[in-house]
Amino acid sequence: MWGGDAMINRYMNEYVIPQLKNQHQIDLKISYGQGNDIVRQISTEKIAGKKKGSADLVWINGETFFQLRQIEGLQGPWVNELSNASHLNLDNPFIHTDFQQPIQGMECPWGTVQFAFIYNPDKISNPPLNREELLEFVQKNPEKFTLDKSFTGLTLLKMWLIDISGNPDELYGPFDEEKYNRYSQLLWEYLSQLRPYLWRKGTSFPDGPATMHQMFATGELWMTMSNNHFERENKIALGVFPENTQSYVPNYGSIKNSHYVGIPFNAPNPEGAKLVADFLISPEAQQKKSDPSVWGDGTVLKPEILGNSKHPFEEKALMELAPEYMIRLAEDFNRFIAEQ
Amino acid sequence: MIRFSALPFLLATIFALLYSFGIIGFSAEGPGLQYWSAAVSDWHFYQSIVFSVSIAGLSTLLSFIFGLFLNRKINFLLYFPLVLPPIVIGFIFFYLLGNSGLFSRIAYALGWIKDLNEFPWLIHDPFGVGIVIALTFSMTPFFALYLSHIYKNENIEKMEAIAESLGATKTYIFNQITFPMLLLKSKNILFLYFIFALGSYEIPLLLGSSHPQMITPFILEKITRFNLNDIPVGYAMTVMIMLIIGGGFLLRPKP
Repeated sequence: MWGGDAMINRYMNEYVIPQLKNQHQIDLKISYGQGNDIVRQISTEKIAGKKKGSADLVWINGETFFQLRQIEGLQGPWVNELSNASHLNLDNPFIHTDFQQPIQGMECPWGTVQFAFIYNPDKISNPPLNREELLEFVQKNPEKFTLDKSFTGLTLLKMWLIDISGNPDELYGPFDEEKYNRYSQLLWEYLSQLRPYLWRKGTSFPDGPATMHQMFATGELWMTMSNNHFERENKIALGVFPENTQSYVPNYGSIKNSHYVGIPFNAPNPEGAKLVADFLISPEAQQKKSDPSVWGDGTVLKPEILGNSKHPFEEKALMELAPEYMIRLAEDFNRFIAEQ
Repeated sequence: MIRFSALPFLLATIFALLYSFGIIGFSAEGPGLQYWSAAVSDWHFYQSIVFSVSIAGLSTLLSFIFGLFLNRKINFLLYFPLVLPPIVIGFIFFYLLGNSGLFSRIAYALGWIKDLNEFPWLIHDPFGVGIVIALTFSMTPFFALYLSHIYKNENIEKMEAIAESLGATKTYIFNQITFPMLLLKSKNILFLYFIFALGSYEIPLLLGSSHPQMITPFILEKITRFNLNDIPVGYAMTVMIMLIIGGGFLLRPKP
């Protein structure tokens, strides 16, 4: 699993692992790696014909799910076998569809998150609510805003692409080359306008959100962003961001997605993996995880089970686009913006 | 033993070759040159090579020069950078040289700059200034220790004393004896350190700009980010880099 967040690691090490030991005598060992490392690992094992893989359960979503499906690296369907499966909110399109791909029981929902901007109200009194306001904002305050080259920045590009297309439904569904070309051209025009006013005058872009948060915390940036709507609460609790830090979703909405666990085709202990997944979606584990002082991850269970109220951001939630959009945006962002 | 340790390297090369020709891998469509032609026609790849060679060359040269100055003044502080992993060195310079780093804050406190963004770009800059500083910092102690070793082994001190007794000036001694002797004995190690710097990863990742990038982060981004069809292209580039370095090694200056 991805180990880049101290709170998530603490939730796993101090809650999930001991509980699994107590309740199921399962000795869960975590190995860390980004989603793309997982895909590389499983694809190498597939090529090598390794029957006994190195992982039983992998934490994936979106393009890693897409890539693992492409290489037939996952086993299943198995989600319906779980005793807690009936609690899953599988009627919710944000949960049963992962980047426009139906999950079909091949991966089990674990949590949901939504993109949000984070800003410092000491520096910004009225945060930009649409693209025009953002352009005015960066022109007035040069080098205080940027976007990163990883998932978070690409999520923002997808949100702008949806905004440019005029209607969220326009881009939902399978990848459409013609639509992509039409709208992305306008997106690059917009970014070329922004670029001279971005951090480092747009000559360099941060590698990931951690770098942006770092620069936000030290005041080099006035805004940062996260794929997790509780990032602000998390980072305040850790003492990294100032107490009065604010987060918001712009008027054009923000992408909400779910993250999942899957079982590799060659998992040595798939039954154990299912027990772990079952525990992860148990009401107690989901309740614990949704607490912002623990992790602050949205639940994937039906709303009545935990009785949580909706997060205010959800009204402006946008669906994830097909993974090809992200792959193309990543390439074209490099080609037209970052490497110019 | 040497043969044995070369085995994994050889296997990795074969793997990269097979992958780059589309023989293995998931986008494999049978043997073909499409990934190689994509690799050779990627102009950013060449840009990255030129950038990496310049950065590595400059860092090695600077480390050697500092090593020349420091090799008579070996101090336990000099061992300090040697025990630090590259990622730690990267972070140290991130916190020292960044626009919200220590130096920038001192300049701000002293009133030299009115805004932290006015501080010159020393990291994440298009010229790789931060990378050169960090690499030089990490390699200088090695050169200092190595040169001091040669100094003793080759009896340079005695030769200097003889030259001095024969009436040579200090500059003359340095230019005609000390420097040529040290350079001659360091040729191979200079080349090896140049390759080491060429392949560095953590320091350029933390301190480099997103464009141009040094070769290792550039290729790793191809292999690990988003598009499965870029993986064979990345492997083709890896093979090309190995060929360039291997060729350079065969043609290296012989002592």
